[in-house]
This record gives sequence, C-alpha cells and structure tokens, in this order.
Amino acid sequence: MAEYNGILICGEVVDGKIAAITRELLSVGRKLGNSLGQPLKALLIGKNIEEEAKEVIALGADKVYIIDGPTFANSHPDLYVAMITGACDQLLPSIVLLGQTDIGRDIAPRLAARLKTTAAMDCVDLVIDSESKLLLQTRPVYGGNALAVWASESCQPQIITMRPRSVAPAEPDTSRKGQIESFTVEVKDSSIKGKLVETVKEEVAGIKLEDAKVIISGGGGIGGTEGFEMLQELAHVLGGTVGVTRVPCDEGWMPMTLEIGQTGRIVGPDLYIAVGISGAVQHMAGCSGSKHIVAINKDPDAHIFKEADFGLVGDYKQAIPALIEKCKALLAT
Amino acid sequence: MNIIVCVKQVLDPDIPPAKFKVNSEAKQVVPPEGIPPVINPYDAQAVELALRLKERNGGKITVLTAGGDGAEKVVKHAISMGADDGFVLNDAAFEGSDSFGAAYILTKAIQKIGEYDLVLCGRQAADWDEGLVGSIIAENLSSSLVILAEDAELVEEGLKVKRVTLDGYQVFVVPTPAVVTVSNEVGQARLPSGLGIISAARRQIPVWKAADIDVDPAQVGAAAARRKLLKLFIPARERKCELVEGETTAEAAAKLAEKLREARII
Amino acid sequence: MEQGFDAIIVGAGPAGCACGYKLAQAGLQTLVVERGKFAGAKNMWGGAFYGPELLKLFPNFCEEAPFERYVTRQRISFLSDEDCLSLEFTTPKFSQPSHNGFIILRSKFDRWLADKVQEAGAIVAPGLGADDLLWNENRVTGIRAGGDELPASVVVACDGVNSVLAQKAGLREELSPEDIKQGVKEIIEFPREILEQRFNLTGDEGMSWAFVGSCTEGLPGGGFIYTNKDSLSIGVVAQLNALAERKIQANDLLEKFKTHPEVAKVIKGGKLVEYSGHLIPVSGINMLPKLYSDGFLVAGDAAAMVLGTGLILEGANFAIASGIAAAQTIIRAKQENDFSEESLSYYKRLLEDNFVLKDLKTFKKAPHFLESPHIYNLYPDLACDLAQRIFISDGQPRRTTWNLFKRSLEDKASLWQIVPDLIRGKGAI
Ligand SMILES: Cc1cc2nc3c(=O)[nH]c(=O)nc-3n(C[C@H](O)[C@H](O)[C@H](O)COP(=O)(O)OP(=O)(O)OC[C@H]3O[C@@H](n4cnc5c(N)ncnc54)[C@H](O)[C@@H]3O)c2cc1C
Ligand SMILES: Cc1cc2nc3c(=O)[nH]c(=O)nc-3n(C[C@H](O)[C@H](O)[C@H](O)COP(=O)(O)OP(=O)(O)OC[C@H]3O[C@@H](n4cnc5c(N)ncnc54)[C@H](O)[C@@H]3O)c2cc1C
Ligand SMILES: Nc1ncnc2c1ncn2[C@@H]1O[C@H](COP(=O)(O)O)[C@@H](O)[C@H]1O
Repeated sequence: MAEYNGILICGEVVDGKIAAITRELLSVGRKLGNSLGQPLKALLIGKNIEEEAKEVIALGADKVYIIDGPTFANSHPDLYVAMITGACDQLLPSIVLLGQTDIGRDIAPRLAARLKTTAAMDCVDLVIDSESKLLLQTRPVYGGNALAVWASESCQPQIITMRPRSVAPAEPDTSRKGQIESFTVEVKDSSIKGKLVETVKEEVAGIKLEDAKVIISGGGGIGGTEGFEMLQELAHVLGGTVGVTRVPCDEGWMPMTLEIGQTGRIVGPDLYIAVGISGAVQHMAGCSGSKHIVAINKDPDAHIFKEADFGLVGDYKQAIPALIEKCKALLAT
Repeated sequence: MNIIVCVKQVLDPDIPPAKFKVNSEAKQVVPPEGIPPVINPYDAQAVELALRLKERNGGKITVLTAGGDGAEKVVKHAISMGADDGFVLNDAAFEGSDSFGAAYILTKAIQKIGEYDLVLCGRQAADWDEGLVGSIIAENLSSSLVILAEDAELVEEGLKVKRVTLDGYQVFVVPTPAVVTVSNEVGQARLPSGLGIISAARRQIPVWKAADIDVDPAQVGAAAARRKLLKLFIPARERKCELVEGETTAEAAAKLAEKLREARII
Repeated sequence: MEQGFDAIIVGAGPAGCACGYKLAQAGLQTLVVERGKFAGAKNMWGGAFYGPELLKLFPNFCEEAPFERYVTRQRISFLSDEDCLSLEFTTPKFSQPSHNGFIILRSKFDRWLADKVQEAGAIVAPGLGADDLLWNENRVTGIRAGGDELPASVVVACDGVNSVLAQKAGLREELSPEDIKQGVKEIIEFPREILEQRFNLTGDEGMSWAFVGSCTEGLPGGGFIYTNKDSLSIGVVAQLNALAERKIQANDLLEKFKTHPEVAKVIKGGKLVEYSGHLIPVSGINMLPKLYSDGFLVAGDAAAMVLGTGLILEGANFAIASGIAAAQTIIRAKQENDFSEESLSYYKRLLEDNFVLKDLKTFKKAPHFLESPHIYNLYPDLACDLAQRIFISDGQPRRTTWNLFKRSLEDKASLWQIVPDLIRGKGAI
C-alpha cells in the first residue's frame, strides 16, 4: 500500500486574493502537520498566481503546487474534481483540507467517492489524537443542536471541509521559505459532463456580511420590507450592515444572499443585534461566533435571550428608532 | 420525464432546543417523546421540484427511502404531495450504514428501477447534516451532478439547473440522466391535498431487502462504515443575558445604547 | 373518492378517536381528519383521565398505553397568598385495577389513540383540516379539506371547544366568554428520582393536585399540578370573562401561582420545556347544543360536554363516552341506511342513558359547596369519606354531592354538629 504523507490544502483565490477560508485552512493544516510531523502542501488553481503562491508560503505552507486553470467561478466543478483527484493520486496526501464553500461542498464528496475514502463536511475543529494519531473531526450536527466527533482508522486520504470562521486565520511570515512547483493533471474531456452557462454575482450594496464589524439582523418579527429600512438606518449609524434569518428570505422581504445561518452565511462581527429573531439553532449556527450578541424581541421567553449578552424585551418598532437616536447622540460625542 | 426522489425520515428539525437531548454513552440522539419524525425538509422540497417538472413535462415520480420501521411514512408523505410511487429499502444488514453505505443502497435501488432521467436528493439531511449522499450517488451512477439547485427545467441538451452560490447563482446545462441536490431556495414544499392524503393512506408501500436490489451485505451496515462516531454531545452555547429595562421600550432602548457605549461595544 | 366514506370524523382527540375506533371495528369506511401536524400536536390538558371508559375501550390499556402515572394520591389545596390548607386522599383502591385515573400527556396519548384507530382499519389523516361542510339542501354530505371535497354519509364534529363545524351546521353559536374557562400550563422537567422523592411516589404512582383560592386571585377556576414520569404539569384555569373584566392574563396568574411558597418548593430547580394554552367549555348542560342534524353529529368538547366544577375538571371521559355513543348511533343508522336527523336522534337517547348527560345535569349548578374550606377543616374525617365518594368515578351516574354528603354523615357524624353546613350546602346544590 502506498505511503500517504502530507497535509494538502485546496486553496481558493478570489479576485486575485487568497480567500479568508484558505488562511484558516493554513493555520489548521500547520497545526496538524506539526503534530503528525508531516509537511503542509497547498494546491492553487488559476492563471498567473505566483504572487499568491508566495503568500501561501508566508502563511505556512512548505510547498505550493500551481495548476494552470480557470478560476472556479468560471469553470465547471467537474474540472476541479478531476484536477484535484488527479493531484491526490500523484501527491498521496494523508489529509486533504477544503473550505465548506461553494467549491468545497461540490468537490469534497466526489473526491472522497473517487478516492474510495471518507469525507467529513463542515468541520469546526480538527485535532490529532496524541496516542492513536487519528484525526479527530468535530462537526455540528442536527442543525447545530449537537457536536459530533468522528475518526476514521482505515481511510486515506481523509477529505475534510472546514466551516468558515471556525479557526483564526494564519498570520503571514515573509521570512518563511518554501518551494513553488507548477503542476499538471491530465483531464479527459469526457470527465466534464455538461457546461456552465453563466455565473451571476448578486452584488449587495455596502459592507460584506463576513467583513462587517456590526451586523443588524432582522427576522420574521420584522414583518415586512418597511421594517428593514429601520434596521438599515441603525446599521448605517453604527457603520454596519444588515443580515436576515431565513424567514424574510422565504417571505421575499430580503434577498436570499443575506441569510445568516447553517445554510447561509457564517458571520462573526463584534456586535450582532438580532431583531425579531427567535434564535433557532440553525440561525445561531451562523452568528454564535459573534463577540457580543444583543437580542430585541417582544417575547420574553424567546430562546434568543439565552444566547445573547444584552436583551431588550419589547416591540422593535419602538425600540429601534430610540436606539438610532441615542446611538447618533452618543457617537456624536 | 421520469424522476426518482430520495427522501429521508429525520427528527423534526423544528423542535425547540430545550427538547433536544442526546445519550452521550450510546452516542445517540434521544427522540423527544410525543414528537414524531418528519420527512427531511429539503427532501420535501426535492419532491416539490419533481412535481413542478412533472407538471411541465409529464412523466412519473418514484420516491425511495432507506430506513427502519415507520420509514414508509415519508414515502406516503411524498405520495400525498403527488408522487406516483415509492419504495422502502429496509434490511437488518443496512443498519448503521454511513453515507457511502446509504448511497450504495440507494444506487442499487435506482438501478433496479432503471428507467429515469433525473435523481433528486435534498442538499443535506437535517439530522447529520452531511450533504454527501446525493453526490456519491452521482459518482456511483457516473452521471452528471449539480448540487444546491434552486430551480431546474428540461431543455434540448438536457437539464438546465440554477445552482445557488453564496453571492448569487450559476446556471448549468447537464446531460440526463442527472443527479441534482435541492436547496431550500426552491421554495416551500406544497401541502398534501385531501385526496392525496387519503390515497397515500390506502397505499401499501413495498419494502425492498438487500437481496431484492442485489446489495452486497459486505458493503453496507456499521461494519462497512468508513468512519466511527467517537463522541456526541450538546455544546454549551448559552450566554449570560443582561436584560435592559425601562418605563417604556424606547427608554429601555436608550439605556441599551448607553450600556453598549459603556462596554465600548459601540 | 367516488362513493365516499360512511363516516368522516373531524378531530383526532379523545372524542374523534373513540368514535373512529368503534366505527372501524364495526367495519365502516371511516376517515378521521386532524388538522394538527400529528394527532395531539397542539392539544393540551391537565390532565388525568378518570373513569373506566379507556379500559372498556382498550382492555389492556395499562400494558400498552403511553400514560405517565396512575393517580394514587389526590390532593386538594386551598390557597391564600402564603398559606395553604391541604386535604390529601389516598386509598389502596387507587393502585389496583380498574385504576381510578391515569395521568396523561396529550401529545403522546393522542398519537397512540390515533394509531389504534388506524390499526382498527380507519384512515387517520393528520395535517388535514376540515375547512367547510358539504351540503345537499339541509343535509350534510361531507367536508371540504385540503382543497378537495370528501363526501360521507355522516360527519361527526369532534373538533373541540370552538367547534367551527357545529357552528357551520347551525347547531350552536360562537362561544361567549362566560361559557368558557381558559387554561394555561407549563411542563417542567425533573430527574425522575427528585420528582418521586418530592411527591413521595414510587413506581407508577402519581399525584393529582387541585388548587383553589389565590392561584386565580379568587376568580372562578383553579390551579393544578400533575406528576408525569419525569416532569410536572402545572397550570391554572380561569373564567374567561372574569379574566377580561379584571384585565388579567391567564399566564400572569400562572407565573404568580408558581411563586406561592407551597408550589415554588415543588417546582424548584426544574427545567421549563413546554408552555401551552387552551379553552374549556364549562357551562355544562346549560350550554349543551343540539347534538345532531341530518347527516351530522357533535361529540366531546365540541358539544361542551365538560364537567368543570371548582375542583373537578373532566372532559376526556365524556368525550370518549360521547364518541362511542356517536359510533353506536352511526352503526345503527348504517344498518337501516338512514342518516336522517330522526335516525340520529338515537344519539341523544344513548347519552341520556349513560353517565354523560346525567353527570352534566347533576352538576347543573356547580357545587361551590365543594369549595367551602369550612367543610374540610371542620370535619377532615367526614371530608375524607366525602372525597372518596366524590373522587372514585366508576362510570356510574354520579350522585349529587348533596347525596354523597348525606350518606357520609349518616355513618360519620351526628346531625346537630353540621346543621349550619347543611343549610349552606343545601342552598348551594
Ligand atoms: C434544515 C433547516 C435549516 C435551516 N437553516 C436556517 C439558516 O441557515 N438560517 C436561518 O435563519 N434559519 C434557518 N432555518 C429556519 C430556522 O429553523 C427558523 O425557522 C428561523 O431561523 C426562524 O427565523 P426567525 O427567528 O426570524 O422567525 P420566527 O421564528 O418567526 O421568530 C420571530 C420572532 O420575532 C419576535 N417578534 C415578532 N414581532 C416582533 C416585534 N414587533 N418586535 C420584536 N420582536 C418581535 C417573535 O417573538 C419571534 O421570537 C432552517 C430550518 C431548517 C429546518
Ligand atoms: C387546561 C386543561 C386541563 C384539563 N384537564 C382535564 C383533566 O384533567 N381531565 C379531563 O378529563 N379533561 C381535562 N380537560 C378537558 C379535556 O382536555 C377535553 O374535554 C378533551 O380533550 C375533549 O376531547 P375532544 O376530543 O372533544 O376535543 P379535543 O381534545 O380538543 O380534540 C379536538 C381535535 O380536533 C382537532 N380539530 C379542530 N378543528 C379541526 C378541523 N377543522 N379539522 C380537523 N381537525 C380539527 C384539534 O386539532 C384537536 O386535535 C382539560 C382541558 C384543559 C384546557
Ligand atoms: N436513508 C436515506 N434514504 C433516502 N434518501 C437519503 C437517505 N440518506 C440521505 N438521503 C438523501 O441524500 C440527501 C443528503 O443526505 P446526507 O448526505 O445524509 O446529508 C438527503 O437529503 C436525501 O435526499
């Protein structure tokens, strides 16, 4: 049986920048590599991305493989699946790390199937068991109600996707040395089934939720589009942006791309103000990483208060205007 | 067009957190008494998408579930929504299968049915939240795959699928037979009709055992699982909440602002 | 559904399930529709089931059914703001079959019932609400549900206190606040050992505990606590119009009730897992609607068949008994293939013969007498005997408390001792 060695990270380059998730993977990968005494390798797919490759070295990789190919946004996932499968066949890593992202979700399961191994999706913690040397994979299950820890004795490589924001990103150290190697994988046309017709990015005005320091989130309690204008104003005053639970999306009050939670975006602002939100686990899964959580809800028994640092029991229609006014005043001084 | 939909029975994901319990020794979730399991919501939405496709293009919808006693309930739910036919895949040998085992079982059943243009799965099962089985089935069938679909329509070249992305969407055209996993953006699954519920209640749902779909028992069940569950527990997520009060809501809100300021949060 | 069902029963509560079970057993084409996601989904009660109806319906109920505990101790407490005068009644009789009462949680119990009905051969359709009745002139010919027309020879409205169907059928009006009490309840979880130790219970023993007084701030009604397997059901019931007049919310009463020293100490440290509320028709016979019309019957709460004295709150046993009577009526109508008002009037006669209407008549003027603490603190021994006669519900028509009381005296006390109470008592009943 072949010797599997090394942790392989599938890096993502978005608009010529190393994606945040890739930095997070690099810090996890480094940790795992150290405890296993194995090298940390990274795979980057794209065109003229040598600069990014250097950055990945600085961020902790010992070796970076560059595959010349289109960016994910403009290519059929089948191509990526084929490329990465091919790469794994040649590099024989013991662990493959991807992000729980558009691309990671698409690739990991099929990669595992093709390599006859196993995949653990959406992990929030990875450690090597000191005795068994097994990779312990922690994942939220049942919508976030519980955490489960898995390990696989027989399967290699182990395919993992990590939930964004579950670890701190790696810090660059420009003094680090490492190799960069360009790399090719033969991909048969037959392995690409059908075609990608278009990729549409629905630009949302203002700050990206993932980058926001302050998020004002509205839920079913907001009751319609008008209420959200109020939240927009508060967000504006606090230099933040607006997010939503699934209900306003389902109701068509707000776009789906603003949904926060298990199946939406994972955010971690300094301040998360949940307005008219009951606090279902599937939603909290997306925001429980926030530094401070404030809940405004008219139902004193709403679960959200159990997961908030500050709570206000009352109708948001009274609360928000007063909050806006007071914040304006305070911030002016 | 003939569509096969894979549906799974799961613990009702809408139960309040207070009712969710685990037995950490047995590493099992303890189903809350009095609250019956339901069809995985994404699978109900997969059935919804199948019904819309059938309304436009005609054909037949067959649902499959691999599960133990009571699993026929989710098949009946799909039938009461308007699916034509369904089967339960149940065999002692299947117990403890992991996602790969389940996908293999389902693949075998799909191959037994044979005639199909499209296999629909949910984006993930709301119990273990893996999001694996649909993709693995596609690999097993070496058919085309699109995940996280919010819409699909039949076109000359095959199936046109709108795939949800974090910032928008992608449109694919893939050859059939295809496997598509369905996301909640498809929209609410329809409620069963009166006659639908009655005809479903009257139906006997056939059960296929390992032998009926020539499943190799060595490839399924706990023994064949590729990984082990070591621990299952409920994380401590609770925070200490300071309730801000006032004569009026507005007054409380102003106090809240001050507190946030004092704490240097704003 | 070309030819339609023999009977469509609306509502899979105790009334609807009892009716559906009997009809299915008799081989009639029966459909039970239930608007809840599942039978019992939204149903709540105190609650304990008194009397032998369940055992009659399901001989091995004790073995199969998902009840929580037997009622082996019954306690009545009169509350002032801090004080509490309690009377507890236990007897070995309670722990031997046929048991005096079963403490039950509806969400589990209703589902079990519904499964029984299905096993018996009826179609039970949860998630399907009856939106309207189908008519042929003055005859009810089925229901409209889930966007479809579902025809049937007879429709039985077991749809609970608000019975929209009985109203649509023109058998009764919208309920008025003085005819209803509102009940609110919480389920509070404990480790089983703690619960059993606090109430000094072992095995399947359970306690039903009724309160009157400060728990409703003197409003007509009362409070209750029932011991489940590993939780408590605690709630209050209060007259709706009185609540409205005093501008009190039922759940505020409950919150206050929970702070009463006597109560606070038994719920201490528990985990609140459920809150629910429901209405109760309590004007008994006074608000009993017309029970039948062409192709239509009403049973259970829909027909206001609830016994709601201060200390007793029983409806499920009446619901089941009336459901069975409705089934017997329909089976007979099927034989004669006559579902006319005339034929269905048999239902009323059945109810008059069994305890249902008798009890309701008996308690026509709810015996406030029962609530006089005087009786209990003056004559515990007498009260105990009285309590026994009140609490043991053997499915036989009840004697009025007055008669029970008289019989108690005969062997317990000499007349002159209690003349004053007799006078008050007689006035009250
Ligand atoms: C498999 C699955 C996955 C899911 N994934 C996600 C996900 O990723 N993200 C997500 O958000 N949800 C998700 N959900 C849905 C989730 O379970 C909840 O249904 C949803 O989060 C509830 O949203 P909400 O709290 O805004 O609405 P509700 O539950 O309707 O709560 C509304 C709240 O507003 C309060 N309120 C009403 N009026 C006012 C007022 N005037 N002022 C103040 N407060 C008021 C009410 O008291 C209530 O607490 C998922 C569900 C399932 C089954
Ligand atoms: C707080 C409280 C405490 C109580 N305590 C006790 C007690 O200790 N002992 C006791 O014997 N009784 C008690 N009762 C009374 C008892 O709960 C009722 O009398 C009994 O449940 C009546 O049964 P039912 O089948 O007539 O109506 P319900 O139990 O109310 O059932 C009606 C059913 O019909 C369904 N339904 C309604 N409308 C429709 C529709 N349009 N289509 C389809 N389905 C529909 C409902 O979802 C429900 O499942 C209590 C009641 C309350 C509120
Ligand atoms: N036991 C099963 N029976 C039928 N379908 C299943 C089963 N398990 C998973 N699926 C399908 O695969 C999807 C994803 O499941 P999972 O990979 O377990 O998250 C589900 O939404 C179902 O459509």
